[in-house]
Order: sequence, then structure tokens, then C-alpha cells
Amino acid sequence: MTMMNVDLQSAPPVLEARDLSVYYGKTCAVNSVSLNVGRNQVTAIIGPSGCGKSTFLRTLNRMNDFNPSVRTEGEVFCRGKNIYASGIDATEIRRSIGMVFQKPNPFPKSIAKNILWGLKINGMLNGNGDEVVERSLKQAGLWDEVKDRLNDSALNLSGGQQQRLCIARAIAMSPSVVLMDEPCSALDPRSTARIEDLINELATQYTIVIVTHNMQQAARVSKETAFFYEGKLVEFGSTQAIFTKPKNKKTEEYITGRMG
Amino acid sequence: MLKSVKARKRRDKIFVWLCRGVTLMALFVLALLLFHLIREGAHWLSLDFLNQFPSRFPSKAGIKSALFGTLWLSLLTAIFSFPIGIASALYLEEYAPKNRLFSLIEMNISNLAGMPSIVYGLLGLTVFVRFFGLEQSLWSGSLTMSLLIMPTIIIASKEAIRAVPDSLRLAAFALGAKPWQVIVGQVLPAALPGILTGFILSMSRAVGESAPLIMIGALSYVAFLPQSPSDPFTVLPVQIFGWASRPNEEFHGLAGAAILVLLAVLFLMNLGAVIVRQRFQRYRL
Repeated sequence: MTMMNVDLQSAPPVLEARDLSVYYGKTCAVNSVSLNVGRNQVTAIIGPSGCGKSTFLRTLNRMNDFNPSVRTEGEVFCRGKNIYASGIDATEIRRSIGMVFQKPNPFPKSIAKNILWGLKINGMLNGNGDEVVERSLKQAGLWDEVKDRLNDSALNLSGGQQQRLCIARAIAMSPSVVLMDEPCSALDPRSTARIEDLINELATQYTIVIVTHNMQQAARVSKETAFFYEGKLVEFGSTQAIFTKPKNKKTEEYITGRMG
Repeated sequence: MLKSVKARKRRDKIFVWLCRGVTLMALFVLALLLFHLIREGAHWLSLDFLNQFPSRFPSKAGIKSALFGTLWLSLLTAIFSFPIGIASALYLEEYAPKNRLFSLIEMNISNLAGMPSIVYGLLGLTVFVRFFGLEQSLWSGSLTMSLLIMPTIIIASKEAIRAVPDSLRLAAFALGAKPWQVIVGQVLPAALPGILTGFILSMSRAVGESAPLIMIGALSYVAFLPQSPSDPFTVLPVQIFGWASRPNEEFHGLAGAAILVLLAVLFLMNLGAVIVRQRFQRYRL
């Protein structure tokens, strides 16, 4: 049964990378990667440091645009639309593909304003936004901790709370995809466990792509896993298959801890 | 081994005391100045002193016109220099390409900040007073002062903007913000405490300057209040200069009293800077 799942996409893809290559100047960081991200599930990207996984993730919402030395080739389709086609506004893309960063980066504003800012600047805010704030914070599992101090500075929250606020801020925009770039690497084990639970819960409603160099984390939260090595996509399949019966020798070496 | 630790600790102590000594010396000079001013000028201070125009009789002389002139001048200077200063800093930090032309421009701005104020006075005299025919008016004075403090405002604002972490910009961009929305909605508010501090400190420089205004021809005897920016004016430092250069001892006392008022104004401005800073830092980075 697992063998079947390796080859079959369990859900129609929301994001499709086709022959995607990224260069920093002359250095190739991502080498013609093709990958489908299934709807309402967690796709993990693992691999040793410098394998291009974070660079790849940032191509998915065009966050590499800010680095002038980065050149991207290939195509990324989000719901059938190539986000690298000419005439596409990267701003629009980022509106529907949210991102959570390595280090929590809440705005130096109140908790409520953190949630509402994205909606406000995009003209997506109806009414005073109390509902969105409550819904997003509830989905991010933060509501009970902060409901009495929504107007306090977000910077007074603990690191784990700040990261959940960043997740709430991303999902407040009702994105098609949420990209997470090692969201737990700056957090303690307890906060990490909370975020992982949260990712599992969110996966029922959101499409999530998570980069991690914690293999156990990938095993715990994801349905499908992609293994990157030296800029190439070495193996991609169901998480269970990747961790129990890797086909590629490199994958096996990495997940058994002999490399990386 | 033990000996060298002892020696190092002793040297550490000597250094600390040296620093203390230097600080105390600076404070001592300041205290001496203040003491001298109070002894000379304090008995001239009164409500009448604030409420009278200058006069050739010391007992009837006051700083009303200078005080109002200072208020007018700082207000107009703030209006001219603040928006232009911030806009320049934002452009240089957030939009300008990082190339030779712009590093040259930025280097020149730093140079301008160190330019003697009298040079700005000459510039003001040539450009505003003569070329634009603005005469010895508040227009000329405040425009000259704006030029004088603009480099400092730009440099302070640039520093404040640069101190805003990139993670904040990325967070904003990741929500689909356009560059101007990131700047207006996130970067500027985060940098505002630093910008305002730099601005108020620059303003206190403008309030304390006399040389450029004497250069453009501000008078030290003005027996009326300016009704509009095109009127002639005087300011506290110019009034002080005027009184201090008179031979009569009593006018020196008046100058001392005016200096005390000026110091009070500067103190209030700096206090304002601290309060503004704390208020805006409620959401500290």
C-alpha cells in the first residue's frame, strides 16, 4: 500500500515546480527541481545545510526577488498559474502564499494589529476585524493565552507565542499555501512540540510546505517528504516510504544519520 | 601569574578613575559656566524681561521679540527640514541603488554636516536674501537654518532606518505588501523614535545658532513681533550676541539672563526628545 502512495499523488497539486533552477551569481543552488505540492497536506523538505531547500522554498512565493544576485529559471504553477510568467505581480503571489520564517518576526505593534496589517494593506478587511483576529488566533492555538491583551505589544510574547502569532498572521490572509522555513529552529522543545501539533491541525485546512533539518520533525508532521542534496531533488514520496524504505542510497545515508 | 592579574586589575582601576575624572572635568566646566551665568544674569530675570522689547535702557529691556522670533524660526525650520530630511533619508536607504554616485552623495551629506555654520549664512545671504529677494525675513532665516540642519537630520534618520531589521521588511513583503506599504507601514514607524531624536537634537542646534543669521542680517534690535514669515526678526542667540558686544556692564547681565532663557528652551526641547522617544518606543524592537 505504501508503494502505491509513493507514485500516486494523494491530492491534486496546489503548487507545481517544473524544472526550477536557482543561481546565486554563477553558483547553482537549486538544480532543475520538479515537485508537486498536494492540497491540504504537509509537504516537508529535508536535507543537509546548504542543500538548497530554503532557497527552493523562497522561490515558491518569489521571496528571492529581493536578492539581486539571484536568478531563477523554470516555472512554478500555483493553482495552474505560472508565478514566474511575465506580467505577474509578485505582490499578488505573496498575498495568497503565506510565509513563516526561521526566527519569529512579529511586527512591533499590538497583537491584534499584527493579525490585521496584511488584510488592511490589501484592502481585504471588512468591519473592524475582531472576528478575523479571534479566528486566526484560535486556529493558531494562541487565543486563550492572549485574548485579554490583544492590544499589548506582540514583542512581549515568548518566542513560541511569537511564532504562533506569525502563523496566525499568515493564515489570517486565507492563503492557498503556507510556506514554513525551519519555523522551530529558534524555539525550545516545548514550543516546538506546540507548533508541530499546530501544523498537524492546520493541515486539514491548509496546504503547508515546511523546510526542516530536523528529520524527526519531518517524520512527525508531514505526509510527503522531499530530500534535497546539493541542490538536487534526490527523492520525493510519502514520508513513510522515505523514512522506512528509501530508494536512493543518499537518502538512506541521510536519514540513518551516516551523512549530513 | 597572580602578580599579572593584580597588575591588570590595578590598571583597570586607574582607567575607570581616569574616565571618571574626565567626565567630572566636563561637568565642572559646565557648572562653572552656569554658576557664572546665574550670578551675572539671574537678577535680571523677571516676567517683564520676557515681556518687554529690547531697549537702550537696560532696566526696560526684554527678550519678547527674540523669544517670539525663536519660536517662529524653529517652527518654520521644522516645517521645511523635517519632511525633506526624512524623505531624503528614506530614498537613500530604501530606494537608491548602491553605486558610486550614491556613495559620493552620501559622503557629501556627511561633509555638509560638518560645514561651519557661517558658510550656510553666506549661502543664505546669496541665495535667499539677494537672489530670491526674500530680504532679512523669517523666510530667509528659516530656509538657511533648514539647509544647516538638513544633513544632520538625514544622517540620523538614515541610521534609524538602517537599524530596522530586515526580518521586519521580509515579514511585511510576505503578506503581499508593496514596497511603499512596507516603508510607510513598518519601516518608518519602527525608525520613528530614532528619527525624532535626531530631529529634535538638530532643532536645538538651529535654536542655538547665531552666526548664519547674523550673516543674513538678522537685527539685534527689533521692537515689534513678526506678523508673518516675510517680516524681519531676531532670535535669542542674536539678541545675546548684540547685548554681549555692548560696552555697558548691565547689558552683559541681560545677555546672561537671555542665555539662561535659551538654556531653559534647549532643556525643554531635549526633555521633549526623551519623552517622544519613550512614547514611541512602547512597541520596542
